Amino acid sequence: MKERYFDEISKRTFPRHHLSDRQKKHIVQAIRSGETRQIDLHKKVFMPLLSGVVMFMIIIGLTIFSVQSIFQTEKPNATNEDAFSISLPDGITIEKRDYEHVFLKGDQVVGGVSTINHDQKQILLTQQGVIEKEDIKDFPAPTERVLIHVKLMHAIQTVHYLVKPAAQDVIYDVYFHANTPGYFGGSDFKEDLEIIDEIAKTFKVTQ
Amino acid sequence: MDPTQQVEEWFTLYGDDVFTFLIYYTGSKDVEDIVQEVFLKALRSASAFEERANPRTWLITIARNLVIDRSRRKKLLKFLPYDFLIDKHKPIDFSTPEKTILSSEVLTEIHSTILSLKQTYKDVLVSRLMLDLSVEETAAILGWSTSKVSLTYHRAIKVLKKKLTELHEGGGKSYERTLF
Repeated sequence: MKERYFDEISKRTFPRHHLSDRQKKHIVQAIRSGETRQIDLHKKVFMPLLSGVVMFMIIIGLTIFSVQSIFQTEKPNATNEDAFSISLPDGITIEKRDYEHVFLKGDQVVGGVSTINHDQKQILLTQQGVIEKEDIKDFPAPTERVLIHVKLMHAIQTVHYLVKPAAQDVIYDVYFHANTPGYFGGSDFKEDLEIIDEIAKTFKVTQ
Repeated sequence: MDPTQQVEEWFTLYGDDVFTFLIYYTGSKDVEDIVQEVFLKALRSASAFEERANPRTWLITIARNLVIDRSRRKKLLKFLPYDFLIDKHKPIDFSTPEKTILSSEVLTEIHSTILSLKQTYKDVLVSRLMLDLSVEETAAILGWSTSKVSLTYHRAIKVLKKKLTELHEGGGKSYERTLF
């Protein structure tokens, strides 16, 4: 019986299928209107292509952002020439150098202004020689004064005024070197410090 | 004759042939959109159609090429929808008539086995065995010589019988009662 079954295969008649009247009507309408399959093209080609382009752009954007975030370093002491103002006494000039401004008495650097970030501030505060740290009350902006005493060939006292303006991420480091007593016109370090305080009080962030 | 009128006439004459071919070739009854695409494609190419050619074989050729193109685009040759997968341990499901292509269990088994064969055997068996197209018509559709059609058909039938034998010997189902 099985053999007959298989012999019958070639004689089998497979039925013919017929489109329904609704299907025929629909196709005839399409033929008459010369309808093309643009809708499918839109769904199956343009939209996936557009999605691919958008995805590609998002990936590129994220990649650029990530790379920038990883490799970006805050420029130390980056300053804007027009970002601040300060009143310096006669004989002391201000000059822009690289990423900071320096105070010059003749050729001698006696101080300067630079911008630092929080990490750099911490390094400053934790270095050797820091003998005083205090918040100054009557300055235009929140200010912390740090006095550093370093003994090298000769004693150097540096006073840092760390000014943190509101709504800004940067910290302005307004510093003054007092290489010898009376460097700023005082009779001793103490008087120099008072003079330096008054100079520092005139520091204003303009931007 | 106006191309639109010509194609409409072809649709009247051969629409069911194309429909039947597509159902057997894809293993699915859901081929109305492909039928439409066949005749729209014919409309676009009607001016290039040679009068001496057979419109029926030409239309079926278009249908076959469309199915192959779609399959390539999907990167998968789908000739058999999952609801027609025949497992020798699984009875055929006739619970949803709209999915049933063939009411005969035997024919369904033969059909699904044909669709599981390699491309050349499928092509020749669907054309010659299922649609009962002549050797010449099959050669025109597949782009083969008539001798290749005959030879491949002979080999395909042998392989089909072998596959059906394996199916029967492996499963516990008896088809004898349905045959005679």
